[in-house]
Order: sequence, then C-alpha cells, then structure tokens
Amino acid sequence: MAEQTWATQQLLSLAAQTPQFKTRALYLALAELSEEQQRRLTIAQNELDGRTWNPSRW
Amino acid sequence: MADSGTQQFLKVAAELPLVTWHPVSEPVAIEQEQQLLQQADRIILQFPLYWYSAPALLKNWLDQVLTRQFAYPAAGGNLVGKSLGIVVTLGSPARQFKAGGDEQFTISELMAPFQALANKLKMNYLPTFVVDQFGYQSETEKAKLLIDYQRYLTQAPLGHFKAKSDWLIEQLRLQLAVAPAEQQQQLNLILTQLQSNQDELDDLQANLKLVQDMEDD
Repeated sequence: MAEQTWATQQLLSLAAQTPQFKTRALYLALAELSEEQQRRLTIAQNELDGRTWNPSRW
Repeated sequence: MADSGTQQFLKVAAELPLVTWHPVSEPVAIEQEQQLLQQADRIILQFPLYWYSAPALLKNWLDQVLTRQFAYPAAGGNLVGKSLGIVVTLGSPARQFKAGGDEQFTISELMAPFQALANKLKMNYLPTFVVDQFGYQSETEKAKLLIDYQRYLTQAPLGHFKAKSDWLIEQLRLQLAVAPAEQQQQLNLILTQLQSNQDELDDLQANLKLVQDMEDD
C-alpha cells in the first residue's frame, strides 16, 4: 500500500514540474490510476477475505 | 469541424500516432473521403451541436460520401464492423440535456440518427463523447478532458477499467522513450509499480471469480 502512495506522490510531483500540458495531463491521469488501483485492490482483497471466511462451508 | 478554441484544443490532443484528423470541406472529393473512411477502424464524427444536430456541412458530407454502393452492407459494405463515435461540443451545460432539464432531451436521444446510421451500416456505435462549456473548465478539468478524449479516440475497448489501465500504462511507456535522462529511473519505477498493481488486481479478480463460481455450485 505504501508503495502505491509513493507512485501517486511521484506522479503528482512530476506533474507539478512539467511545463508541457499534454505530459502533465498524462501524469495526473496516471496518479489517478494509481489511486484507483489502490482502492480496487483493497476492495478486491476485502471481498476475497469475506467470501473465503464462510463458516457454512467449513 | 474546425474553428473554436474547443476544436483547437481537441486537435492538439488528437496528435497521436494512429489518429487522422480530417476537417470536412466543400466541394466533397467523394472517392478520397471514402478511401479515408476505409482506412479507419474507428470513425469519429466531431462537431459543435447546431440546433440539436450536426452542422449542415457535416450532414451534407455524409449524404454525399455514404453512397449506397459504398456503404450499404448488401452492396459495398465498406464500413461493416468499424466503430462509429460522436464527439459533440455544447455551449450549454450537459446536465440540462435530460427529461425535465432546460433542454428536455438527452444527448443520446438527439444523436439517434447517427445510431440509426451505424445500425443500418452494421457498425459498432460507441457511447457519445460530450464536451460541454469548455471555456468554463478549470486547468485540471481540461487535463482530464484531454486524456479522456485521447482514450475515446484510441483505447479499445472503451469503458473497462482494465482497458483504461492498459492504455495509460502504454502511454507511460511511450513517454518514457522521450523523457529526459534524469527522469528515466523514476519513470521506470513508477511504470513497474503501476504494472505490478494491475497484475495483482488481475490475480485477485481471477481468484474472486473462482470463489464466486464455487459458491454458485
């Protein structure tokens, strides 16, 4: 998880120091992707845990 | 349809390896236009909304270029299996285009003639891409618009998170090739991280599907 925050931070910092609009837009979109991946990883992991933790199937 | 600041912005955004930006003009060189259409996988009609429809210039172009012989599936069928997308720019807010809103009709309803056209020509009709009130958009909104528009032009398929992720990661790869030397290592690490996140997500989803299938049994 910490690593993903790292990727987002790096991308936002790159965006802030990039003068070209198209490149900056790409870095911002990648930062958003990084955050979205993190959310989806958490949700998928939780769902997997929830579904696996099913006493009726023990 | 060239002209405004919006179209200029989109034109620069469309400067991508596989994209041909082609303004329509009169008189229409029918055969050349048909050849251009044949070369494309995804045909995007892009225009400002004039009285709830495409400008007369574009309608005229369609009427002349899409001849029966060229386009009808039972005749030339030259557009069968290609995708048809619409990029429409609005001067008024998109939120007004709904039942009960100022405009009363949805953009999908207004674009129905293009949907009918795609249907008749056995093309795959894409969800319409709407750009509204470009002049009022913030810098961040414009950055997002640029990427969303580029994805609309070149990402296949549209609308899936994995496809979006693959597309963005590919763009990062292309950026890496032209980035300054001092950024290479940083960008490489980011690329590795994003790719590994995506792989992990794919694995988790595959496992989830297995568990769900077991529950269904």
